[in-house]
Amino acid sequence: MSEDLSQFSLLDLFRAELQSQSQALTDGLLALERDPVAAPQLEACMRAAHSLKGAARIIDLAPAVRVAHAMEECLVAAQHGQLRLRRDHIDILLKGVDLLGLVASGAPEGGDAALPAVVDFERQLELASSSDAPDLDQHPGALAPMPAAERNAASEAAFSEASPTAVSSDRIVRITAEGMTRLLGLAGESLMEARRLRPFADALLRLKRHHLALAKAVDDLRATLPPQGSDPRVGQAFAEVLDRLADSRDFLAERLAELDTIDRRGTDLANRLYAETLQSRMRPFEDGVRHYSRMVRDLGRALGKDVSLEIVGGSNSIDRDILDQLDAPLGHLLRNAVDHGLEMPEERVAAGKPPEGVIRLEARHNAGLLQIIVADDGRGVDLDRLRRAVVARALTSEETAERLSEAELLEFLFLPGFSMKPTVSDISGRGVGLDAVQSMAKQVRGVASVTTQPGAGTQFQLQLPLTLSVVRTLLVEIADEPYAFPLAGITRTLRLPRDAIELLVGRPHFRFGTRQIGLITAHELLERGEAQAGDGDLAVVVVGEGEDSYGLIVDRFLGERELVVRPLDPRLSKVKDVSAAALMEDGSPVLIIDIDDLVRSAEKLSGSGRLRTLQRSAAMSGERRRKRVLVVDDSLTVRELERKLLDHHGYEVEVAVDGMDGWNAVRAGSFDLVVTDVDMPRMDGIELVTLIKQDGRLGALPVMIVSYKDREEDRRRGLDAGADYYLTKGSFHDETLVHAVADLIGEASE
Amino acid sequence: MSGDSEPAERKAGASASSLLDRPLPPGYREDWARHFADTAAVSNRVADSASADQTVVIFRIGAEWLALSTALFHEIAEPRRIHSLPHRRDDMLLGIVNVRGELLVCVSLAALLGIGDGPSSQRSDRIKTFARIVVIGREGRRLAFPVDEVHGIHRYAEADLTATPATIGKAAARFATAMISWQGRSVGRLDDQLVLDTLDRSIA
Repeated sequence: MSEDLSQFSLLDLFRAELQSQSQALTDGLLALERDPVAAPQLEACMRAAHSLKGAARIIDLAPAVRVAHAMEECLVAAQHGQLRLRRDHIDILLKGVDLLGLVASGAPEGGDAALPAVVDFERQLELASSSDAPDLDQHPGALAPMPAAERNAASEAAFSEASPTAVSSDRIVRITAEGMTRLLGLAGESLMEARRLRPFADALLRLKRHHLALAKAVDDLRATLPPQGSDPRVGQAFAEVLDRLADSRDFLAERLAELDTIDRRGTDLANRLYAETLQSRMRPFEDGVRHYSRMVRDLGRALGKDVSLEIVGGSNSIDRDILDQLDAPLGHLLRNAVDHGLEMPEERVAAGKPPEGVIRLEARHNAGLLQIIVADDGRGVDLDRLRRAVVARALTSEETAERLSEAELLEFLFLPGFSMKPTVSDISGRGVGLDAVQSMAKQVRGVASVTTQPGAGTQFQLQLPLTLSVVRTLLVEIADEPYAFPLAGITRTLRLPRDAIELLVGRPHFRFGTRQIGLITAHELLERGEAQAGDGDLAVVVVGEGEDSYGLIVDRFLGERELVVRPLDPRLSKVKDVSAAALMEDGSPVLIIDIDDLVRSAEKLSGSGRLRTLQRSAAMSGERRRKRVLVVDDSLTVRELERKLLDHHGYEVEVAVDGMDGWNAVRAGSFDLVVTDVDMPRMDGIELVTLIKQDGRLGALPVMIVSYKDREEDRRRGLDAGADYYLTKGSFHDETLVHAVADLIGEASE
Repeated sequence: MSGDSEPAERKAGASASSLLDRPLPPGYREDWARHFADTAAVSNRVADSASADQTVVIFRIGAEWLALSTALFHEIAEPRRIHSLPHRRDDMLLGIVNVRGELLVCVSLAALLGIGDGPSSQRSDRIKTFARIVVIGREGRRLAFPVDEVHGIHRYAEADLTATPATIGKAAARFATAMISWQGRSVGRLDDQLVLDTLDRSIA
């Protein structure tokens, strides 16, 4: 048993070594592809293959020994000039790297089961090497062209060779995300505890003052007594009291000074620990993207294109969460660039460009934001073709398309399902991708954009926050509890005199610049207690944009604070109006407001929905219970139309402005029916239906879809998700909606 | 040894080795063998009975003394500020709380068990000093809840269990599997899994 275990851990060790060595091998091989005789690369690859062979031998992994051995032989031959590496070699050697991974993987086809593949690999490598000489003569072009580009590549290769070693000297350790979070939590806690020393030390200063007072009192006492000599014992006793007083005063002063030092050191250490823990969430950009070099090269080869990937700003550190989330979008963008962006070599030469295309992957910090750029030097986006594709997909009319600006046209590239390629390839063109890129950017509060220059290339740009883990916020107090508004979502804050409040249609408003903005108490919005009454100025936070701006009354501004974002327990699912939590300096929790959510809640509250419910709840006590319907639609018109229709027929109606809002509402209140639209921001109707139907408690709740889409496949999609009824929006004009509702849940009251 | 009064004239090393190498007195081995055999027997006996025993942490909510498996407990901490969650009005979910740098969902076991705070609020002045926040959970799914007092770990044997009588533990009856008698009191032994599952469900 124990032998098995040790065997297992050795294999693990080998895997770890393989991981780092294969990265070195891949980097080296890619560089060798451009400069087949670069001595440092040959040396590095040979060494990597050699150490892998040795390691494989130690753990008795015979197939891996053979693969590594064959690779080493080939590289040694190249080092001695007996062999000139060609693309075929590089191809096979790269496959060898993959094969090593497979052998060590522990998968059923790994280990000894991989032997046939190993034999095949050896044969291929031998074949390529033996056919070396004639090949060189027949295709001198395979290696000889573009001396300029080659030199370029060589210098770049030297750079890329240097950076991995720089990185590998700083060893990376793996740690789970949960472990990291706990570490951060503990560091925060220790900082908090350390900060408590200062107030404690300050409190001890009072003791010192008491001490001084005591000394003075003794002095006074002595002054009241008759002069020396009356009784020598009194004099002696006094001397002793004074001695002891002085002793303890000195002692106290020393300890206080010591405490001061301890406090300074402790706080400093805790501060550093905390900062360092935060910092260790950062990783160099290069770490997350180095593996793309191989992918880009392989893709290029598959498409018959010469491509090299240039990584710029690889040492810039990036939040590991962002880096992880970037992985899929960057993959899309790079595949896109190789497939769509770059031309075939002949086309490039004809256009007067070097045959090898260059894709630049750059990370840089700019004005407090992280900028990620994927740029190719290909043909650029053909705007006329794009325009035709937009029209052909009936996304807009021909006239409108003519008038669209370049930037507006390019926006279409980010639409879901949009592709300019007539055929779908393995690599890209399925139409998924760019919209995924954009939604990832949005998810982390960033922006994706594209620019293009005909003949010179296309550039995709992602603007992302530097970190997801720290957010700058305004702390406010609502119902005696702290809440944090992310600064990015606040239009402004102000203190509003009470007499500046006007009543418009029964709701309080105030004049903000040229606009009237509705006022709502945050208490009402969050359902937390009552706003403080009083006659002082009101603390108001203005959120939202344009028409959808609202002034939220809070109890107090507590100031600006940088908070380390902590996710809420996933078991809570989405807490309405809250995006995450954080800890304040004193260790007490604070909730971070989800401003998008909040604006929608405000919209709903200030609309007719809420006021009605208030009137209703007063009236309801005497009435029989009426059936409750939740209407979810992002269009105010449709929403109100449906509400009126149903209300007219006696149903009690609540509204939600999109799927997410609907999901929050449906869980918070008890409804008899949900009526929802399909196309909505944040969460569409299909997703909402799916969520409701999958929920244990809500599964039985009937859901009706009302949509403009009347095609059979839309209908099918809705019903497949679990909707009980599918209606088209034309049906408002007659009683179809009301009949359908009555069919599903019966009359309004029974 | 003191009788042998010329140690200084000998080499210290020789004296030490002669001391260490001296023959064992008769019966020495047997004595020690018996000693170790006895201790082993004793500890075996302890281990035997321990395997039949269970340990629980006993705590108090309101007037009820309750117990949950020791293995469930992660932390017992001083009470601290709980931040409520907007829109949530149920009594079960109190909010979130920071325990040792970790933000945890805080629930009310009192609400789950239906223990009113009637008697405890009358005595609250006296009790407040013992109040604690307790963190329980399994497999990383942790939860915190406030209790009025924690006694500590208690070991009991199956034999100490009695069926839940109708008179005691009326509130906790649904969740208590048995009663443990402890210091003249009856402690409700709660069903670990049932409590965890119900609390888990209540926060979703």
